[in-house]
Amino acid sequence: MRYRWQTGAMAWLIHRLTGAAVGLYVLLHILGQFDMKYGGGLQGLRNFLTENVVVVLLLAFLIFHTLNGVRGLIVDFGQGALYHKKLFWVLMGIGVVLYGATLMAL
Amino acid sequence: MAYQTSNHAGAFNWLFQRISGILIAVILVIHLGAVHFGFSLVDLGSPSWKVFHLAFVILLLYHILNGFWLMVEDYVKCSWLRVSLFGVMWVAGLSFFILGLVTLVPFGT
Repeated sequence: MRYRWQTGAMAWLIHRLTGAAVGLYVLLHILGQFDMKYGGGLQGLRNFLTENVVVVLLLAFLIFHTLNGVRGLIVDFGQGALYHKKLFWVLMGIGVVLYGATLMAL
Repeated sequence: MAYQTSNHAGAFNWLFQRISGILIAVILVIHLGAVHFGFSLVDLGSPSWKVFHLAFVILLLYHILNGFWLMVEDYVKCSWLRVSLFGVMWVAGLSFFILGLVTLVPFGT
């Protein structure tokens, strides 16, 4: 499968990749919390999920996925199709600010 | 036809992926603030927080597994594999729901 190097297609592909990664994280997070209650053998998993690199990546993926999701809603339910590229970069700008603020609050 | 489904199944998935996404975004901010960034000293073992997190788990599992299913529909052409993976999604969804449920019900005790 080939993707064209355009804003919408790239946003779609990154949405997919970040969604898969964050989704996997959430499943492991649920598993880790279950284990904390009932076993405790998966301490290594919980350590991995709270490692700085992982958390910093997770927050970046989450913020992208959420804001690009907002763009999708505006395209699907509003007039976003007319200005979706500009909208993408405006939301990414908001995302960078949000990301900076979140990292400082960590 | 490679697989059988009702005519409206895709439309429901399409709409509910968006509805669950909106709800998740709202709940996520509260979850991160209350649990991970420690803005408040809330009691996560209280009934209302348990219901809150159970709703979060259900919405997340739907959104995640439906997302995975969309990828299967795009990339997996082989029909028996598609059917098998559809089953995997359901088993995973129910399993993780049970994991979440038995973790949340006695939470804080």
